[in-house]
Amino acid sequence: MLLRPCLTTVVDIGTEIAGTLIGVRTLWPAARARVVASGLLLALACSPGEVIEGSTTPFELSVVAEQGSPALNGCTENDYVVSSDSLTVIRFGHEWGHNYSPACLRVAAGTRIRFEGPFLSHPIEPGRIVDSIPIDVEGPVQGVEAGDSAEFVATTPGKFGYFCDLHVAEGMMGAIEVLGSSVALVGR
Amino acid sequence: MPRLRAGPGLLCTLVAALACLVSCSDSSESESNAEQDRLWFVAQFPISGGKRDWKVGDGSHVIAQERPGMLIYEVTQFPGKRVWPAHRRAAKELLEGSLRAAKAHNWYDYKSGLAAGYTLQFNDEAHYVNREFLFDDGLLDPNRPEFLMYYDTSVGKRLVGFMFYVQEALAHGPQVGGRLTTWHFHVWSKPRCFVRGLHAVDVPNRHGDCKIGEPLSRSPEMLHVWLVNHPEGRFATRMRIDPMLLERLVDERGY
Repeated sequence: MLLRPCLTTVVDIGTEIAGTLIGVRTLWPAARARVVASGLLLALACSPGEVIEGSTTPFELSVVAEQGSPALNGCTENDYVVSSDSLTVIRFGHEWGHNYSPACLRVAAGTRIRFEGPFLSHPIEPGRIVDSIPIDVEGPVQGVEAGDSAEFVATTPGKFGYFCDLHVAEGMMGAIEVLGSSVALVGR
Repeated sequence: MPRLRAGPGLLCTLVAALACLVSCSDSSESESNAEQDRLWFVAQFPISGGKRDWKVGDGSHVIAQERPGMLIYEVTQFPGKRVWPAHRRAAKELLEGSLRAAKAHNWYDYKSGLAAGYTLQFNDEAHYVNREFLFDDGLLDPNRPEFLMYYDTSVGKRLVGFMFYVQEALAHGPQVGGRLTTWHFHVWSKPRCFVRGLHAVDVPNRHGDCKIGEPLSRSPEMLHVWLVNHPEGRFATRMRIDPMLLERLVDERGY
């Protein structure tokens, strides 16, 4: 798709831009982007989802969110698997390799979440990964370094990240969204 | 953040960068043979893959990191996009040699791999190490790979690749295939006990001491050679493959 900038401006490092105008080198409509290099000439597309390619404008953006909602450990809104079971299992290791299945899970408060897999080779830690650094380490998941099963109860509503301490650098991570009640799961 | 042993001064970096303007130019094939004169570059492996943020340095200053989550660093003397024909030939030779060796030694059969002396590495489920090959003086020898990588699939364990090691803890691996064969190393927040700097066998006790070996937070350099069509290339650093894709890749290979 051809470059068709509607607006150019100079923005500072760390600036967050959200809204429907963003289409700079992304395929995501209505994405939120964060400027990662200072003093760049930023070109904004005219409409949501518009892709700018082949531009010589020296902008550089890091897309950190989609649909106005921050992605968490690779999980965007459309990635979450909804489970209404009172006990939900997330598997990893063995046949799932360096992956959690499902990696992105949405449950109601009170749900028991069981991780099944070899913790010795995939020790789990809580945290949201931003620029390869874990932050926001609260949530239902606690650190586990041994054993083949661990169970947590999702009590507090919110979105919580977790990751494999040994393989997060390859993207072995996930997120759990805890909704206030099982009614909230309907239609999500 | 990574703990630096001895960070190079800004001036050194600038001088090195200036030198790079000359030594890093991809101008002739003959330059591909002058690896010893080339600068080293290091980059943290990006979670989502893609472009590396290469910085001048050989990675020897990265020996530990303090926050949770293992980091991966790649090191290269060829940060540009160009691949010389000589490098392409060498990479092809390494891959084909590995494919031939795997078949000749019957390592595609998991039990044959075990019988050949490969045992599961400490705290791992995919890397099988051969101690004899790990401590010998071989380097990038397809008939003596330091590691075999077996992945679990719905039809059992399948050989998906070799992993080659350097001979000493902080040595650089030979980049025989130029940018196609980029070596990497790991850095942990919690050290492991390494025998002779190469073989991880345990974790230190609560006092930080090892029963065997010495505590290290950084692995030696290593290089994968994938015996399946890895989506990021036959020498890709990333171990993580989508399980469905892995099944398909093994199916396509046929064994």
